[in-house]
Amino acid sequence: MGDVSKFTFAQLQYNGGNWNPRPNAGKRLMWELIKRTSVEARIDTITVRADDINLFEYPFIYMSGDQEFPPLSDKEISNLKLYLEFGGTLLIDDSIGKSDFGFDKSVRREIKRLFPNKPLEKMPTDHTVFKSFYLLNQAYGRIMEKSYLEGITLENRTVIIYSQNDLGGAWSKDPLGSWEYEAIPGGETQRAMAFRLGINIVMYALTGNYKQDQVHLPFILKRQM
Amino acid sequence: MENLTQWNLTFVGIENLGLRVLVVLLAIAALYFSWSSIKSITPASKRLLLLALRFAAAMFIVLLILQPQVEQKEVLKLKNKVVCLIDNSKSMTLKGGDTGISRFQLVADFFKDNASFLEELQNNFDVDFLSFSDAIKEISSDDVEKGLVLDGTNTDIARTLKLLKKRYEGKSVKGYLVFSDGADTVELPSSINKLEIISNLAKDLSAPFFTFSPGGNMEVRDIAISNISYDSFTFVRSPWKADVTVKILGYKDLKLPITLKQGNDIISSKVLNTGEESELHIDLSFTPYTTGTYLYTISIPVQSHEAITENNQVSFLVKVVRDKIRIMHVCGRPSWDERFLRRVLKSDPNIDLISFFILRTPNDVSEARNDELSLIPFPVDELFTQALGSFDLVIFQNFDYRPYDTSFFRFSHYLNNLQKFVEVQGGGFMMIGGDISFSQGGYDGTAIEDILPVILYTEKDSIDTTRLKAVITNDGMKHPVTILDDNADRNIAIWKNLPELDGCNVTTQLKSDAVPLVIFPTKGNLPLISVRDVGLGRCMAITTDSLWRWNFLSVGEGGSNRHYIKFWQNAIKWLIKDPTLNPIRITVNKEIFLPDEEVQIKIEVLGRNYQPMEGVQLGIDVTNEFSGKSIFFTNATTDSNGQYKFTIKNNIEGYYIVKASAKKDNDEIGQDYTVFNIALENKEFKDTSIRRDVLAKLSEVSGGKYFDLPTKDIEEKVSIENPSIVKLVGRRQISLWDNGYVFMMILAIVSIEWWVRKRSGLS
Repeated sequence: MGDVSKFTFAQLQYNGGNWNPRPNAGKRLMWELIKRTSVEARIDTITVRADDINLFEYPFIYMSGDQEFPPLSDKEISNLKLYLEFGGTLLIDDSIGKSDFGFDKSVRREIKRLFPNKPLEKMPTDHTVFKSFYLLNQAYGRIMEKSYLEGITLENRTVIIYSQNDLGGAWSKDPLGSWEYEAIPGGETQRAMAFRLGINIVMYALTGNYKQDQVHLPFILKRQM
Repeated sequence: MENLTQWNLTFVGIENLGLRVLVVLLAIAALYFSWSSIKSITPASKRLLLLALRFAAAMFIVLLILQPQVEQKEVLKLKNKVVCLIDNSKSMTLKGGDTGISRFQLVADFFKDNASFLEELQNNFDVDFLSFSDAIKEISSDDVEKGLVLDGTNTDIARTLKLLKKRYEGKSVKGYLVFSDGADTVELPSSINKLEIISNLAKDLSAPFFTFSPGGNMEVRDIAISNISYDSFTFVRSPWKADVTVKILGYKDLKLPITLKQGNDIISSKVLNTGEESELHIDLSFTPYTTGTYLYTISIPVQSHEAITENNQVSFLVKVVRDKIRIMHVCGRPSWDERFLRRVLKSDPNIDLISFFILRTPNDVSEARNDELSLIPFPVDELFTQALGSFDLVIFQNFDYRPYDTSFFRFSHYLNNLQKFVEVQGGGFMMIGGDISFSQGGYDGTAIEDILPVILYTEKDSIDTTRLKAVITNDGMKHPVTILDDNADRNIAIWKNLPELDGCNVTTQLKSDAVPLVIFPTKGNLPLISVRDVGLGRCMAITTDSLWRWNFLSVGEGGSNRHYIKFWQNAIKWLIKDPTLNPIRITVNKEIFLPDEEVQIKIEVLGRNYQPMEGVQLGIDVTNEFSGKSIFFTNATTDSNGQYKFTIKNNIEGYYIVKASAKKDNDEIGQDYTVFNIALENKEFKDTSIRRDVLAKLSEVSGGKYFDLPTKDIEEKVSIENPSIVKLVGRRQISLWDNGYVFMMILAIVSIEWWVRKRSGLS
């Protein structure tokens, strides 16, 4: 009814590092989401901290960065863990896409603190996130560091989705309407695919494994052939 | 029986007959040679005297060697047996359609008409009179004339033959006279040949069967529901079918309506064209929409001159159970409210969820070809026509039907189907709010508005985006949907502590028969959660799209999402009329009882917390389904276990309905009913045909003969062999040689012979 019930692109703010390297990414994605789908979303993004009481107002949060950052506080970790276990979804976007370096190193450290017994796993191409709206067969972004996404799945629901392809970089458009970053190496086609993946991730957060329902399978299999 | 004395001479010295003859020949040879030695003796008298003496001596010596004995036997002369079997099953009371004479009357007439035969039979044989149906019982010939009690309910010829075999093992039975209609009522699998079993058992008895059955003009006129093949339990919303076998005797070219009723309601019917058929099979089917045990009756109208009317109607119980709860979830746009509801529904293994989410509207620009999208067509026609009846509950969540109300698919027609689904088929319907729901979804003036608990006014209705906490109403505090905790105080506290909601659809008015459970405390206290019984089904309106906050925000505030989950579980149970929500339950220890058998009935009452409730006042009434007469009525109170138990006995066959209502402190708690049956299983009238073929086969395989009744001068037609049989009761043996006189006689003869020879100067 009110704005809070609409889909809101909430960006996680954390101490240290650079928590907002692509400040225009979320707004552009929301614009495309509203234009292309039936989802009611807020254009404006909001910022939320992991230890904020308001975190649970937003079941989807986006975490981005291009630098190493210090460990999250214990309260942030426990709150985030509770958030993810009871229905929240976290999209992590590495803006520089360098494995075992900087932001990636910090992210993997924090994920280990969140779920010590659940390592990040490569998400298969038949994962619902690749067919929740568009039919995709790999991960995309501003760069093509990895052709896959990684994730952590709890009770048949992927609660953390980790991209190292700088999705935000592909989505970012400045206030004058120009793309802020060039999509490499695929150019605009690659950018279009990055938007599709972003919309799929939002759809997955909103509908879960809906596209795995039996009624969809014959149609999807036919189109993927 | 008579006593006889028999005498026998035996020779115990030499048992072999050849040796005995040899001994006699040797004695004759010895006499011959003796005669040669004395034939010159004169006078002839002396010669003959010597010969006589030697002959006598030889005779005594032979006697000594052969050792003769006389045996005296006392014997009894016995009669052979004949067994006279008379069918005492209920089918023997049936009267011939043309003659008006009962089948048994023909048997009694036979006994009168052939009295001399029977008298002679009893003179010559030991005749046993037995009645038979499912057991054999000794009777007398007088019983037949006086009128046998014909109360057998299950004629079992094979069992009767087995009992005869056991009873007459080792006895000399020379014939069986069987008076019956041959109507064996035992039902065997089609793979087993009953006639073959009966034939083999008859052969085993090694005596001829002379069988007698009512003749050709004795067929009754009858329409009988002889068999119903059906499942005694079925699943709700699944088609149930009964295969009915109808036997037609003595009628032709009838148009028979056959109906299937639940209570007084006809739920299926067909018309049978009988033609010249004697047996017809017909399917009757229906789809049950509510769970429970129900009494169904299949009936055919009674025709003129029918012999039996009670087989024109058959009642039976069917238990309707739920397999899985089938829910159709249609959502107008993906949202958090949809996401968290879907999660609850998907996590329940008892729910079979079919979801359709509108991910893109015609106004959206996907920027991709259709084959690059995972979207599927919305199968509206299939969902809301053929498949609709298979669901227990339909949820419209923030769904605007109007984009699909095209000239090709008139969605408004489907809304009519939905109304029928709820009102007539007992389905559940729930509408959940949002920006394109209720009036904003265009439902005012549609069939959906007719079933909703709220009245819709497009012009007045709007969306209130005030953020407020929902408030439970007084009705809500007692309603199973909104009881989230066993304890009333805790329940109120839970509702107070639930997170704020993010606005609601403004629907200003509740329908008069709707119950508001939760309100949104903005201006006018708008109904937030309201329910309504509609026809056979139920309907719920939730005028917000932010109930998800009761889940996720509760967790964030340090609480739990269990109240959110409990709310949905309650809502679904209530909407599908889950029997576990009924606070009063009646159970009977079984479904079918014999007359005068004890029926144990238990009534349990549960409180709002679903715990046993003590001190509840019960009104209990047990009535006969057909007569409507009450056989038991009482007022009682539940014990500390929330139970009241009682037993009843009744000897009148029929179906009985147990109804119980419960109240405490003048507050109605609920009511329940169940059904049981008192029946003595009588298969005799299911198929009233005379089975002469069975009796003829019995006679054929055993070497006997089949006769139609009436028949006279039977003595000229029946011949039973009667070999004599005796029984030894005493024996005495008298030895003819083993005594001193024989030895003295031999000595005397030899001495006289010696003296005569000496006197005559012979050596």
